[in-house]
Amino acid sequence: MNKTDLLLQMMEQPQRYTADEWQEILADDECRELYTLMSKTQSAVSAARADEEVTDEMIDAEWQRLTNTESGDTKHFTLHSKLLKFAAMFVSILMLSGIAYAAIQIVSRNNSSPKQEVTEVAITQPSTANSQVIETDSIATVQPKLYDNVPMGEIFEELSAYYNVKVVFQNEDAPRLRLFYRWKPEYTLEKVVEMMNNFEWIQIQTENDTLFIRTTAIPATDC
Amino acid sequence: MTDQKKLEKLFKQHYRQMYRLATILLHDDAESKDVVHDIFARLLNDHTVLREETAESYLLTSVRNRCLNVIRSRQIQERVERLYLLDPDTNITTTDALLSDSEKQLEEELKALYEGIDLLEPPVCRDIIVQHFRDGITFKKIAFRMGVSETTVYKHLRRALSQLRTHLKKQ
Repeated sequence: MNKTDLLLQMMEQPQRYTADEWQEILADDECRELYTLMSKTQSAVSAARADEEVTDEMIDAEWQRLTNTESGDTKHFTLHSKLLKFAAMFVSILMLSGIAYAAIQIVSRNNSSPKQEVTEVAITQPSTANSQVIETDSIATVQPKLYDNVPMGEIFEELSAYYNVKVVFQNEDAPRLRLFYRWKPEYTLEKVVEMMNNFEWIQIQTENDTLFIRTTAIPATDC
Repeated sequence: MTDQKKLEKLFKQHYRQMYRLATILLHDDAESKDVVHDIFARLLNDHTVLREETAESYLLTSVRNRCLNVIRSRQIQERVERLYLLDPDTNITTTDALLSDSEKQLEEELKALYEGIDLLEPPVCRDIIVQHFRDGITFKKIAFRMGVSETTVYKHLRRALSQLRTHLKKQ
C-alpha cells in the first residue's frame, strides 16, 4: 500500500492511531499536500454553506440568543438549547420512573404492613413476583440499550430489525444526527416514534411498515 | 445610541463575515456560531465600545484567535477528524491588516476549489466529493451506498483531488 492510501485509510478512523503515527505520516510531503488539499476543500464547502445559510432571520435569532442570556458566565452561552431539550427529556423520564418507583413503594408498604390474618397473602405475593422476574429474565434476552451520542442511522438499523419495519431517511443529514437515547425492549414502536418526535428537529411518520424520518437540524460536520 | 444598540449594529453588520471565517477554520456550524456568540457576549458583559473604524479588524481578529485556540486545544487525532488546516497560524496570520496577503490567497483558493468541485469529471468523482465534504459521509459508507469497494472510492477520490489540484494551480 502506498503512503497516501494509508493516509486516506487512517483519516477514516483518526482515533485508532497514535499522535506519533499521525506526526509521522503528515511529515511526508506528499501526504501533507494531500491532506491540506482535503482540508481546504472542506473549508471551501463550509464557506459556501455559510454564504448560503446565514440569513437575516438567523442573525436576528442569534442576537436574541445573545441578549436573552446576556449576564453571567459566558460558559453557559455555549450550551445549546438542543442540550437543554435532551436534559429536559431525561428529567421527564427520570420523573416517570420516579413516579413508578414511588407507586411500587406505596404498594409494597401496603403489603408489608398487614394484620396477622393476611400475613400469608403478604408472603406469597413477593414470592410470585420473584418467580416472574426470573421467568422474564430467562426468556427475554433483549436488554435495554443506551445509545450515547450514536448516529440515528445506527440506532434505526437496530430498531428497524427489532420492530421489523423499514426505515427511510428523507434527508441526507438525518442518519448522521447523533442522539442520546435510552431504549427499552418494552417500548412499542409507537412509543419510540412518539419519543423521537418529541425532539423538535426530528419528524417521523409511519406508513404501513415503513418509518419516514426527516431532520431539520444540521449535525456537526465531523459526525 | 445606547451601547447595546451600537453593539447590535456591529453584530448585524459583521455577523456574516465573522461566521464565515469561523466555519472556514472550524468546519462546524454550531461551534462557529458559538465563537461569534462568545465574542459579543464578552463585549456586552464588559460594556466595551468599539471604535467604528477599527471594529471590523478587531472582530475578525477575535474570531481568528478564538478559532486558533479551539484548534490548538485539540489533539492531532481530533484535528484530523475535523480536517483542520495543519498549521493555520501560518496560513492565517493575525496581523492588524484587515485581510492579510495569505488570507486573500486562501480566499482565492477556496473560491477556486468550490468552482472546481462543479467541474469534476466523471460525475462520480463529483458525487464522492459532495457526499463526503458537504454531507459528512465517510468513504466507507459511500462505498457501501455505491455498492463498490473502498479501494474504488479512493481511486475516484484521488482522481477528484488531482483535478482540484490542477484547477487550483491554474488560478
